[in-house]
Amino acid sequence: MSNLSAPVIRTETTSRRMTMDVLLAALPLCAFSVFNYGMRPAWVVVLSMLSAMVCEGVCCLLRRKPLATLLDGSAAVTGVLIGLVMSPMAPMWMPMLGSAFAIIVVKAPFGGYGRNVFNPAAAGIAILSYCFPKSMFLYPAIDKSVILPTDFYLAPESVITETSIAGQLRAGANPGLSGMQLLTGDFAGPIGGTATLILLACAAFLVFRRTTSLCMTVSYLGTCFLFALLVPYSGVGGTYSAAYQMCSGYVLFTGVFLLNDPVTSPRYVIGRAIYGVFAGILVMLLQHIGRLEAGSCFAILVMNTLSPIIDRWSWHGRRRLLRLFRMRREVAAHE
Amino acid sequence: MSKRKKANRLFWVTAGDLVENAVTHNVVLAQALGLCPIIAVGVNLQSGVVLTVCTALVMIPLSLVISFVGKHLAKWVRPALYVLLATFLMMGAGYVLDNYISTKLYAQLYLFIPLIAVNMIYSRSIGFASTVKPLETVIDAVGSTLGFGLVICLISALREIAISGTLWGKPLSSTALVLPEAAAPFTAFILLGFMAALLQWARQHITAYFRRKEEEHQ
Amino acid sequence: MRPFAPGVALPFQKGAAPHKPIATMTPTQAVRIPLLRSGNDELPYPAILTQEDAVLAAGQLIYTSPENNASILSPISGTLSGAVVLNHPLLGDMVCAEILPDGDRRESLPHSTNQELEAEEILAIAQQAAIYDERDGLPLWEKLAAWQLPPDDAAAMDSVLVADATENDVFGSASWAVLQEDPEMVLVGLQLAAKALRFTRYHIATLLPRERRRALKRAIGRINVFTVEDEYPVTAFADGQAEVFRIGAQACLALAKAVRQGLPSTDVVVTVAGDGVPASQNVRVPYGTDIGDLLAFCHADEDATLVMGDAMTGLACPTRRIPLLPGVTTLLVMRPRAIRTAQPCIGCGRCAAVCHAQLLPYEIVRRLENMHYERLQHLAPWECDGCGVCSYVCPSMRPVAVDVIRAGETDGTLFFNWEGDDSE
Repeated sequence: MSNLSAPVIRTETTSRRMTMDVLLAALPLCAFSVFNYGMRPAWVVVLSMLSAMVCEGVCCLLRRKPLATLLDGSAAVTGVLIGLVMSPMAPMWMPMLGSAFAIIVVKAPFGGYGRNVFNPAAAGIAILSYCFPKSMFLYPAIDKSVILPTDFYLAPESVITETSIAGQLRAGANPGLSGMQLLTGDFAGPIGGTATLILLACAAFLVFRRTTSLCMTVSYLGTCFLFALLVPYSGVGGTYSAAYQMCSGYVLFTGVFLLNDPVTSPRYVIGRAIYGVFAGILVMLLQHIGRLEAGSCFAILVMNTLSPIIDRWSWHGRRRLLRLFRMRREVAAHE
Repeated sequence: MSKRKKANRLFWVTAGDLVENAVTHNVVLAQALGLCPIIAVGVNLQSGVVLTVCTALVMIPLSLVISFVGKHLAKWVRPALYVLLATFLMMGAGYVLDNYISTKLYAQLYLFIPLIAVNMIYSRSIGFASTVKPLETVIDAVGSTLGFGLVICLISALREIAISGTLWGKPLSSTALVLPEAAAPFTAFILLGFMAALLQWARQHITAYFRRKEEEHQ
Repeated sequence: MRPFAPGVALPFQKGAAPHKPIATMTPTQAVRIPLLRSGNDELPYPAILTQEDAVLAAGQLIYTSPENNASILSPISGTLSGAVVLNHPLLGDMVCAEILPDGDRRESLPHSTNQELEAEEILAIAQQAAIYDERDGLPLWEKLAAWQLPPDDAAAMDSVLVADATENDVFGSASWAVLQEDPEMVLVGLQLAAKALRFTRYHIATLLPRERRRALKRAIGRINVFTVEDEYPVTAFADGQAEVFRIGAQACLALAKAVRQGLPSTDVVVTVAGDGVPASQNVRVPYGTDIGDLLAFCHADEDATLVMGDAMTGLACPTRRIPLLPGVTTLLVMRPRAIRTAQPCIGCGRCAAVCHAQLLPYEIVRRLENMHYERLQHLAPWECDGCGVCSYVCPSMRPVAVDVIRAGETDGTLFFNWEGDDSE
């Protein structure tokens, strides 16, 4: 009897569908990198995902939860997101370590999916960026004729490397890329961070499926773009500098995937917009003055701590403003 | 027989008291005191041990004095006097460390000895010190110091191994698998978090064990 | 659907019921009419219950409640077999008059008239005819009397009386069927109610398919029909900022029949739907009819669960042996289904986005679970009207609406009295 509590019918949207949407969106990004570098990027992402899922399984057993919890796909998403910000030539243990850290330290101790305070993927990326910046930000030159070997550990000397856009901008150089190259991802960078057009398509797909919030994505990207326009790098022209900054590091990737983790971001619409704005400012500040050339994950971690406050304050603020307006109107009507 | 029984009972009560202060109500893991030195300088075993000794030098005399005079003082004046007393003891500990042990270590740690001294005043055993007998106070203080020492030594040893592959300055193995970034504060925070969680899990078992033992020897 | 507005578009599962003629059911089993709550010793025991084997006519007055002067009529003609105590799973214990049916005869009220009536006269007729608002089960005359304004109040110009025939829930279609059967009488009843309130603006709010809407507008005039947005819950029942007062379309029909034809209100149109019946159907049933009797009339599945109310707000009812009372226009018969367990909240924020009361359901539930009752009060959970949309959209299958209603009922430190200490 009790299984028929109101409402009798439910939407078809389940949390599993939401995680599956993210995995689906990650697929073309991975395919693009495979097209550029051979099978190595796919291996990096898959191993990262498997590592996250194994760790989640172990944590499930330790916490005496059914292994079916794995099927909600959240661990797979964490692993895939960590794999996607790796350099294509990163040693394979790196994303695996990051995923394991994300699940064992950042997610499971807080109570698993839905209860974690920090975005596990961002935390995994953060610890890898902090501990192994050399391998993290060493990107192979983009050359369609060269296929990266799928060795577990790839000696950096055996690959022709290239400085990423962020690295060149920070060194005061002009990357000298055309707009077409920027859009089609014809430059060195992380596995999922270069294909600008595909990333924008992913954003549109996720927003259309209501898996991610339109407010948050738009406010974040808008803030980033405005910031990049207003604070250009010396030696690079205004609009071009803005375009470079948007494509450098994984600023776009952060906006589409990392920022939109529903668990750790605000839930109220106005709160989400405010969150996006602050995250954008913080990400761009870290790009400019941070120690590392890509510090989006740290910005996300900082914003995660603020998200409950932003959420509640935005709701209470809106309510108070409305009450104030109503009182004003009533007073005016009375007079 | 009765004498032996009494000795047995005393042993278990004392052990229970020690364990309660050292483990189940650990200064660091349960009361969250003295975190700063662990996070900042708990990067090699040497400084861990030295800090433990300093804590003992401050904590045991302090609690003894408090148990003698504490109940004769007005409540509002106690904290200030305790801090004053701890400061004097801390200066003595610093003098011993600087002149007889190692000036280099003192230069590293001098900032954190007063931190520990003042932190410990807020610990549970000092809070009770004025209401119990001197001997019990000393046992409590020893337990608290032991608890602090256990945590800081464990964390500093783990971090030393991770940072440089050595323990007490001696290399452990020939492989150079080291992670210098473990000196950053977040490793200590994560280790402390997991240790605190472990303690939460183990606490009821430990408490139950000692309560049972005490009841057996009642 | 408007893009950033609260509410959801529900699936259309009404089937053919709203377009089929209304079936009329004659009870075969005893009809039970609740007279007063069990255990209420202050009220006098109804005199009628002592007269066993009294022969009653349909629409005959059997009791006037001393609490609110509500008339209670016999819904059918038959013999009174005595008093029974009904153990209603949702409403509690009630003392009922049990009437055994013997065929249907109608009896007229003395006041049937086509003349112009004063406001108070309309209310008196509504009271005598025992008209209930079918949407919430309250007596119509009581609602109207509470809304009535002084004769020269300017607020009456801004207020709109709405006959609610939206049926925006998933299965219900009773008022659509009523509108198809007799739209003119519904309008007449609405005009009478508006006159009782001295309102100048009134209309019927509907959500009909386009063809039906056009036919309705042709029948009773374009100005008297207001089409609401296809969303659940409906928030706009009139244009602009006008204050809206809503009564049921069936109550309008009953008022028109009582005033113009002198007929008492003894029955209600109920939709019987769900996957446990062969085809959904609107049935005109006397009040007090045994629901098991009604479901047998509709050939409902014996193993299926009865849900009182519609898909979004209905409550599962453990027994069918209860009478049909005012306030229910939809009965669902649902086959048992696999239990989908609730998972932790993942923070998608959909519940807050669809809430038309502009609350934060997820935060209310979180504070309720963490027992932060004091801080719960800052979130105004009592503003929830229980529409159930938050539960509908929740991707983690959580019973959000149930928890929010529970939070609205808690009162600060109430929960801290664990030991049942009554002294404080």
